[in-house]
Amino acid sequence: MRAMRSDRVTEAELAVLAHAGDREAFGELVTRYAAQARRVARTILDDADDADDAAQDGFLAAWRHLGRYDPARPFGPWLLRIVANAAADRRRRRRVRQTEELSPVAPSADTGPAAEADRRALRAAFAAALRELPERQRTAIVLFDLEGYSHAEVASILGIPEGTVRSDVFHARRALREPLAAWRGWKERDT
Amino acid sequence: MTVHSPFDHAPDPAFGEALREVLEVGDDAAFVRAVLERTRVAEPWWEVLGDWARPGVAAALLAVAAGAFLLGRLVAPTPPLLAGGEPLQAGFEVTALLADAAAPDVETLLGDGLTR
Repeated sequence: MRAMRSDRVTEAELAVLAHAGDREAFGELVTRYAAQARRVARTILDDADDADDAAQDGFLAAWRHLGRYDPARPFGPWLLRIVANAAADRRRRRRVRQTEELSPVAPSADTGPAAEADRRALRAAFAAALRELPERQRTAIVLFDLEGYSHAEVASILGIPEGTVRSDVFHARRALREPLAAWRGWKERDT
Repeated sequence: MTVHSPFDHAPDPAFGEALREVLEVGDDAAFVRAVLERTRVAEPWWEVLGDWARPGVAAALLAVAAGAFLLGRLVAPTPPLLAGGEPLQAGFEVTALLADAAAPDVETLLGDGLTR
């Protein structure tokens, strides 16, 4: 991986440098946000390759429109909004892939190959429950609980009112609580 | 994981950890390289030309300066400091001085030159 510039260089400064043609500065921004952007795109698109392509589209669009970025505001929400839009555009253009239906599996107390199969099944059940959420709820809970953005920032990324974000996160958590409890209970037993 | 109300302000680490595991994305380095490659390919032609223009203009200026210097030397040769056979002073014969067995008197030479 490329050597990172000092963290003292703020993202706003990097964005300004990148807009002036500094490729290294843009590379630093990509490095800092690659994982987040890929996860957000993956939240919207099931297919990992599609998600990476969409995240790349988002970075490319951000690079072309750096002049529209306001350095007084945080860079992350601005970028992730572009990435989320790129992923949504790609999903609309492509036929929705059929997601794998997973029936709930009761975990066994065994160890070994059967236990590993249980672990995979519970993880898959959680992933399936996540996929079944409405896209906005899914993205909201990922941005809030995983990426650590505030309700206000999630609202700016998704272009919805802050109250709607709170509601979406609440409903998403409620839907995921049971599969998470099953998976987490298995993990705790295993450790 | 705890029971949440819609008014929760803090992220839930249990959900965060599970979501991170499910949305695992793998090698970021390859992704970063791919993005930077795409930005290079998508660079507008005028910016590509601009990148080449600065060193190109500098090199052209250097070449023009060097060419002008060499051409100037070829076209206008430097005149000699003293033309061959021209006496230092009018009426002052060097050959006569060399033919004389006696060494020339410095005061005579200088005085002769100064009186002219």
